[in-house]
Amino acid sequence: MYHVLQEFMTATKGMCYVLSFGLLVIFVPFWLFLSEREKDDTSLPDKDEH
Amino acid sequence: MTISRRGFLGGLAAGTLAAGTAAASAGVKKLPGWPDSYGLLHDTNLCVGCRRCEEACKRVNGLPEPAVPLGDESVFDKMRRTSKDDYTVVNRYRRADGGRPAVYRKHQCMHCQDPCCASVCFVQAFEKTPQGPVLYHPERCVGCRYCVMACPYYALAYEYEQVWTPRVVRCTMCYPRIKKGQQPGCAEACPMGAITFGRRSDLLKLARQRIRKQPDRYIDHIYGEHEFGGTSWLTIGGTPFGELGLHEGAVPTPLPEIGSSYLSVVPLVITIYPGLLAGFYAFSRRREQLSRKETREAVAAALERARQEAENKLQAAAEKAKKEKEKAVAQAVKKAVEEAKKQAGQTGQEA
Amino acid sequence: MSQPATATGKLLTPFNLITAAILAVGGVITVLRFFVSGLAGTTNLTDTYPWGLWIGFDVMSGVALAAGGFVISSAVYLFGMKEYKPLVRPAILTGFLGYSLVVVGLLYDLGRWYRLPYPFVVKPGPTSMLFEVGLCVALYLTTLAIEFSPAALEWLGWKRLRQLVGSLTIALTILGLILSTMHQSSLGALFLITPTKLHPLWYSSHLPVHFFISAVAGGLGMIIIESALSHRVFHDQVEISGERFSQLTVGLAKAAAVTLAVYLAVKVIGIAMDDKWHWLASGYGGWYLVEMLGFVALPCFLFVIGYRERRLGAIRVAAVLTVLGIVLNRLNVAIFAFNWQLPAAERYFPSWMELWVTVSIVTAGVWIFRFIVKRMPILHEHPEWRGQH
Repeated sequence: MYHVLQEFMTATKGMCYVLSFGLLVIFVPFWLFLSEREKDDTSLPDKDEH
Repeated sequence: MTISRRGFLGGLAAGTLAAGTAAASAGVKKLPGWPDSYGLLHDTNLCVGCRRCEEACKRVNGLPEPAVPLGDESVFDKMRRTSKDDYTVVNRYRRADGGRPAVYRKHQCMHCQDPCCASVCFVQAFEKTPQGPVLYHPERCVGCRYCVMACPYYALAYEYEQVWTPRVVRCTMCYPRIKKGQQPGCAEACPMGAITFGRRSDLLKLARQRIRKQPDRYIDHIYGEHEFGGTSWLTIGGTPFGELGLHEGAVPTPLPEIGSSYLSVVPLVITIYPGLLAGFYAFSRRREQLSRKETREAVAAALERARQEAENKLQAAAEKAKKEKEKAVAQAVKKAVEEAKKQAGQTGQEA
Repeated sequence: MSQPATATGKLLTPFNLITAAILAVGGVITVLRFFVSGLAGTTNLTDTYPWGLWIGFDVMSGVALAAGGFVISSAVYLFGMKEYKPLVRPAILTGFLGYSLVVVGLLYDLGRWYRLPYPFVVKPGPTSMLFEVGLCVALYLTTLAIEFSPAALEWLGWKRLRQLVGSLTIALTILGLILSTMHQSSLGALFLITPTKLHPLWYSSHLPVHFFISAVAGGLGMIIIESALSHRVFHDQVEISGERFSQLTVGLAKAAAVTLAVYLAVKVIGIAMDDKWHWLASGYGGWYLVEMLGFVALPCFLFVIGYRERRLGAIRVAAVLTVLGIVLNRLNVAIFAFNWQLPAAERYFPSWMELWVTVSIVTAGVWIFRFIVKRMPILHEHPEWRGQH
């Protein structure tokens, strides 16, 4: 019973590592996609304005 | 290699003890309850649902008569819970069928060893006494009802109809009677011996004895010994505890430990954030200063270049002017010399 | 923009009449609740559901939606994003009013409301997450009051005091962020002690983190909505150009998109951590997916598109969905996913009086917001204090 529990915990923890790093990796294309069209642009706030 | 059940449990116990010792020496505290505290043992094999305990409880606490009189079986058609008028209720969890009798369980505040109500109260209106009962202090209560939210046994009730002085109400384990050496009202009134009052450690021994003597009638487990840190009310019987409305498989970790675990983050936020955020502020100020400095330098450089260019132009113009002047002077001199020569030639002829 | 308009005009506008009617009925219910029939006569609270709409919405959702103040002030004053400064004062005002009304809602709910100071003056219970919530909210309300005061002081013309308070901005912003982190997350931590009552999909040992991140998203959403409404309704008070305002809205969309994406990721981790995937196949699982997909993933997507394509319409729809999603999450945790194993007959639904009190409190908030915006330099700078924060 203890071994089953230990395997379960190991498996979920291991899965968590994989999942977390996976999400981290996915964030990169997400950010790039989000920031893609920033270069041109007058419709974005001017960072020097205050 | 097989491990006997006792060996396994023993090993588990030893492991828990070792972990507990390590944890204790690491500064992690547990509330094990007072060592000589009282408790009550509820034997569901003996309970017949007569509800004399309910009647006694109401008498002792000055509560209204039971809404459904004793003996009226229709009261068991619905599951009841404690309320402002019922500090304890008996529910039927299985009807009698064939040879098997019906199964009842009495429900009330469990007087936990590490009570959730005490842990979540922001004015410490609950107190676990050395004798075992958890007491409520209405003179301090603000009426937030977090205790009612938190109690995993749904044991607490509230006087919503009181406009100015509502209180939390629940079983008190007859604390005043216990202090006088008497038994709680329900334990005294039970005709079947389904409720036994005594020291918790003695009750555990009694429970184990009953289980050992009749292993086919009792499940080998005392509910409340370790669940969520343990309770003063212990339950034994032949019906699985999950079917009796209890949390089967509850961990031994007290809920307050889980519930207050986040509190340890608070001092971290208070001590880390100021430095971190001041750092962010300084960083953004520095970036701003740097960019302003860059702008200034760029402007200065541009001005310098412009000045240099202007100066160059000026010099070039001055040079040009000088050259032209020299040229003009040279020409004037040339003209004068020629004039002089002409004149000299003329006068030479005359002489 | 030209000079701010002064507060004249007819008293009997439709807005005033409607709000007065709402508040009048609310007043009657208030008398009933406090002097006549107590909580029993005005609410549907039970022993099984001691917390209802007034906690689930007025307190928990209210605090989450008033989070815009600390988000924007931190961005502008701590992280150097000075281009968003025009949004700071309205957000601080929303926060100040929001938290004040949270306290009002709480007073309705407390059994012995007159004992509210007890945790501080009689006997504190420091093991309780509620103690920490109360302490932090009290301190933060004070912080917000001081952060709001420059606008009032400029309006009153009290120059020296205004000068003094202005010098405290950075310190107050840091304090505000500390206090907000703590109480936003602690509201989630309140439920850590109820693993037997809160549905596994909503319960997590990371509940405090979930609440904090979603509060940031809720605050951003509220800023987008409130500023859009203010710029339409209080057009005569607004100083920045429409184009600049659109730029700022678009900028906020980027922050909101990232916040919601992070929130979604953290929620997925929460499910994976305790292997709760199988719960998604239940009825509650479906409801959870509605909350996550319809009110977190969808607005995130709309914010991304809205930011890339500079589409204000998509951004505002996303903001509304985000705000609704935060409210839904708080109500789920406090009410709908709470006691999830109990049969339908024992479940709670707010009484009409509870709903009316909530509406009255929001109405009062809107009325006070309008009163202040029309008189004080919130949407524009005071001519004598131009260029200073």
